[in-house]
Amino acid sequence: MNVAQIDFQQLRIKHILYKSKVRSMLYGGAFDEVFFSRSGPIGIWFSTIGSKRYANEFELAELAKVHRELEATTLDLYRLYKGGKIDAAHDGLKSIEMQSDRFLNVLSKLEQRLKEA
Amino acid sequence: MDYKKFFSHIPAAMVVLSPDYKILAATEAYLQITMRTRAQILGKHFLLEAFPDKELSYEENPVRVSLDKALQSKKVEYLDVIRYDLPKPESAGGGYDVRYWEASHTPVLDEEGNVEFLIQHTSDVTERELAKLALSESEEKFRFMAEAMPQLIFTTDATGKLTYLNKRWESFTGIPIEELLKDGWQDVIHPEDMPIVAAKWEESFEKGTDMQLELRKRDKDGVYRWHLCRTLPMKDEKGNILMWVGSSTDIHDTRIMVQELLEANEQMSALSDQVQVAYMKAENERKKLERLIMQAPAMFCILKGPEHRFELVNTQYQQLFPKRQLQGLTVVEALPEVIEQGFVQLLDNVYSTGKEFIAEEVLIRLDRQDNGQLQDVYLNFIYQPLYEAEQVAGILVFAYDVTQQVLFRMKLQQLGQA
Repeated sequence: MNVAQIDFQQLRIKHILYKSKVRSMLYGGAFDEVFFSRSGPIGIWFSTIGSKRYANEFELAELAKVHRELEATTLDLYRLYKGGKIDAAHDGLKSIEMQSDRFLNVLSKLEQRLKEA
Repeated sequence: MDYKKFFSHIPAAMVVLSPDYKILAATEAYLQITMRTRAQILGKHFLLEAFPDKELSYEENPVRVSLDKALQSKKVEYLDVIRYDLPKPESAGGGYDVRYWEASHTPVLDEEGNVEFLIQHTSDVTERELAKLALSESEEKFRFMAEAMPQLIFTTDATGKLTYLNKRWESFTGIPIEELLKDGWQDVIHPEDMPIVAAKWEESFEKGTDMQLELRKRDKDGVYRWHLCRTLPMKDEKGNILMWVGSSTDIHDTRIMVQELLEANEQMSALSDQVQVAYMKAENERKKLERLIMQAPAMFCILKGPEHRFELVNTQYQQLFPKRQLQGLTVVEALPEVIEQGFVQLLDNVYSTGKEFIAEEVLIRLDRQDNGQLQDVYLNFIYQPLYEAEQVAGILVFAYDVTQQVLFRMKLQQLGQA
C-alpha cells in the first residue's frame, strides 16, 4: 500500500458518503450546510491532499469539475424537495448517479495511470 | 272531434288494457317503440300472449305485480325501471333487442267505481340506462384499480370531504373504513405532522394544485410509519375541480435504509481518515528509523524473507563491499563466498526459530575488492529476527568491524610468547 492508494481510496469513500448524504437529505434528513459546502470532506480533500500531491495530474481538474456539477445538482434537488416536489427530487437521484459514475471513472483512470507510471 | 284518432296520435307510448289484461287500444307511438302492428296485439293477453317474458314466470313478472296493485288499490302505480328485451322481426335478423322501460299504470274507473280499464304509459329509457350502466362499470374499474394498488388511496369531493378510502386503509390502520371516513383518518396522522398537513392541504386546496408531502401514519400496531402522500385535483374541461384523488406510499423502510447507509458510510469515512493518519504516522516512523539506520556508525542491513533478500543496506555495511550491488539480491546471490563459511545456515536458523544470534570476533573471509582475493575480517554481530503479524518476516543484521582489535591482540600475544 502506498500513499496514493490511500489518498484515492479516501476520496472514493468520501464521494460515496456524499451520495448517501444527498439521498438521506431527500428522505427526511437535514440539509447539512457545512457538509455540502467547500468546507465539506470532499472540498477539504481537494484543497489539502488533492492540490498538495496531485495538482499536476490533469484528471484532478476533471474530478473537481464533476464534483462541482454534483454540488449544483444537489442544490437543485434540495430546492425541489423543499418546494414539495418530492417525486421530482427523488427522480433527480438518477442525475446524481450518472455524475457519480463519471466521477468514479475519472478517479479510476487517474489511479491506474499513476500505478503504471 | 274524433277521439279515437286523437288517442292514436297522442305523442306518447300508451296501451289500454281491460281488467283481465287484454289489449284494447294502443297509440302509434306505442306501436312504433314496441315494433308491433295493431293487428298483432289487439285483443291479446298483454303479458301472456303479446309480450311474454322470456326470463320470468307470469307470477314473478313485475309488470303483472304492478298491474295487480293498480287494479286493487285503484290508484296509479309506478313501475321501477325494468329490462324487457323485444324480439326483433325475422327481417331484422331475429333475436332480441335490449331495452329498458319505465312505466306507470293508471286505473280508469266506471261510474260505480270499478276499474273499467288500465292505461299503461311507458317510455323507452334504454339509452339513459345503458349510459348509467357504462358509468357504473367505469366506476367499478376505478374501484378495482384503487383496491389493487399497493398504496393507501383516497378521494374527496370538490369541497374536500372524504368520499372513498380503499381497503388497504383498513388493513394498515386496523380501523374500519366507515370510521376512517368520518373523522377517524385524523387520528391516524402523527400529531406533530398534523399542522403541516393542514397548512399544505389548505394551500393546495385554495390554489387547486397538486400536493406532495411526507408524514407519519399510525399502523394497527400503534407504530408511526413514514408515508409519501400525493394529492391531485381532477378537473373538468372548464378547469372546475370535480374531486381530489390521493395516494399514500409507505416509505418507512426506504427512509430507514437510507439513514443506515449514511451512518455506515460515515463510519467508513471516519475509518479511512484514521487509516490515513495511521499510515502517515507509520510512514514517518519508518522514515525516521531508516534515516537512523542509514546514518548509524555501525553496519546495518535488513534481510527480507526466507531467502534473506537485502532490503535495506546502510552506508557502513555497503563499505564492506564497495563495488557490489546488494539491494534486491539474496545473500546467496550477493555474497557467494560466505555460503561455505556457514553464515547462510546461521541466518536460516534465526529465521526458522525466531531466536536471535550473537557472535563476537568471528572471522569472515570476504572478496572485498571483487578481485578473487579473500580478505580476513573479524566482526562482532547480531542477527535479530524481525516480526510481522507475530511471524518472522526478516532479519536485522547489526555488525561492527573488530579486525584491528583482534589483530593487535594477536600481535601482543605473539610478542608475549616471544
